[in-house]
Amino acid sequence: MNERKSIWIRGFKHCILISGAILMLFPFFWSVSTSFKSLREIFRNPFSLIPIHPTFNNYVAIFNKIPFARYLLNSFIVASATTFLQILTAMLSAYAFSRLNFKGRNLIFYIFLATMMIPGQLLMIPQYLIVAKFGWINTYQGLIVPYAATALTTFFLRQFFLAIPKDLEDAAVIDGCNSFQVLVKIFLPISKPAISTIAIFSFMWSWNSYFWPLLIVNVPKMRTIQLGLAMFRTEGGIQWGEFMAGTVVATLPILIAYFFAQKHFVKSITLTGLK
Amino acid sequence: MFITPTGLIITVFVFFPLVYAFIMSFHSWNMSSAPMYVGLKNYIMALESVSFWNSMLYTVYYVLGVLPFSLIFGLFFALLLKDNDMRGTSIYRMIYFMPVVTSPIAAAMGFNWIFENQMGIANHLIEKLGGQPVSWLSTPTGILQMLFNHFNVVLPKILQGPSLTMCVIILLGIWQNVGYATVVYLAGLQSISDTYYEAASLDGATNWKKFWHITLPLLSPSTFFLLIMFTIASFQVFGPIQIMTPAGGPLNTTSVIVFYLYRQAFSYYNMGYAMAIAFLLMGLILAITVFQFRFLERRVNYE
Repeated sequence: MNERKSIWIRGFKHCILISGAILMLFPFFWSVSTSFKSLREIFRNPFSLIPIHPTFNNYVAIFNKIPFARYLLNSFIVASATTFLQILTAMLSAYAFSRLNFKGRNLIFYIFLATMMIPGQLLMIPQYLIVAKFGWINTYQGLIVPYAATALTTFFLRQFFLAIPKDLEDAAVIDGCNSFQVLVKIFLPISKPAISTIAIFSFMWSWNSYFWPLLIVNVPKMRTIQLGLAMFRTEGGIQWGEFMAGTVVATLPILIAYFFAQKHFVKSITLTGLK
Repeated sequence: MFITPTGLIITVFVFFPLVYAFIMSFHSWNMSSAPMYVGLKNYIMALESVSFWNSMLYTVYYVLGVLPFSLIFGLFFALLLKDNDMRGTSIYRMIYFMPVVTSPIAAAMGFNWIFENQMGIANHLIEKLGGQPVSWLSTPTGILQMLFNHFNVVLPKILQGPSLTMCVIILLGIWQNVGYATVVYLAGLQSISDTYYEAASLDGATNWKKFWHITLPLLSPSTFFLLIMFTIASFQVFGPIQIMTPAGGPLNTTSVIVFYLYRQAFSYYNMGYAMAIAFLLMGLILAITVFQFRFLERRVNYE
């Protein structure tokens, strides 16, 4: 009796969860579906959930009409470089904050930490002016360098480094390794999980960022994918098939990465509180 | 030195801008002529400006719309998913988390299309069910006012509620947050030891009582964490607003504070004024966060 009851309850739970999943998936489904429809089919009423005559025209059009491939490449360059630099700078500073003794270490660390509290928008206008002074408007440097080091990544990696037992490096120091060699030969291999966490959120953050590129990019060829998509929307009238094709293309890289490294994604986003 | 790269970047792109923004917030500057010291004028101007307070109101609507629903639905799904013997838990979790990794811009494009005034599927469905199509993205009337329209009552502005257009943007915010809340709550639930529930069962507690007296209090660290995270992020919403309502929405009803700031800075070039607004925003976020830490954290049960 009890067993039967629990089967019913479970079935009911599945019903609710499936409805939830449908709501979560619907915007994805509808974007993909629309992106394969011809203009005529998009305007047709009654509408069809799945394209009756699927076409690639929208995808062909966005790559021909606007430099979508260039946008993707820009985003890829910016996100990869930002990720790489963030890992590099975080490793160096996290090592200093967790292992090296120097004057004012804790004070500097707390000042770093305090910067995490400052909302991005507050800094962006002066950052924009500084980047303009450097002549970095519409350049990769302008998109990358201001975010090449963050307090968050330093903090995150420092906590991880603090948990590494001192004995490990003592042996290396006796063998004559200097600080830098200890960092590369001992800390780097042990910290792979923490570094992959940073890599995922840096890359995702950079790929999805919009406000900063909006400020400092004003020529089409330097647009990142998010900016390209947004500008396409505001400049493009009502080309919904093409808009959705663009949306799919802009989202796909992150979603593919998410499917392959799901656990890491969930972990890194939850740990860092980053969205 | 090992901290040189990080230190240099943080100094140039965080500390310096912070000081610079602070100084400029006391100046009047349109980027073409030299900045002019005006004292507190920018701050006073903001606090006396109707559009500033309206943007604040719309921001608060957004935050109050997104926060509770994200938490409630997140908790709801987490409770359903907690069942260890149930199949498919990981698939559900994977699906619910998909909107979290999606960029706000892409998500806004998708929602924009669903709720498009003429051809959006939301209206197609309403028509199919025999209803009148709704101008989702161009209705400035607050939803509470819409309700009270039936009784011919006009509410004061602050009580009219978010415009229908803002509600669509709130819906998008909830959609993007629920999966995150689900995952955080799920982790919280899994760390609650079964012994609490067993002891409660022995005392004859009902499921509802167990939920109210065990689950909810022991989840309070997760709730607190989510509250802080969502509050800070929601106050800074910008991208989706710009995609769905590039002009600030019907009668500016989706012009949240960051959108207002952006327009002041880059459409009207009121740089000093924009920075004063940024400081007011930061003060507000800081005050709310401190309030949450001071008054809510006391009620959090850390085991």
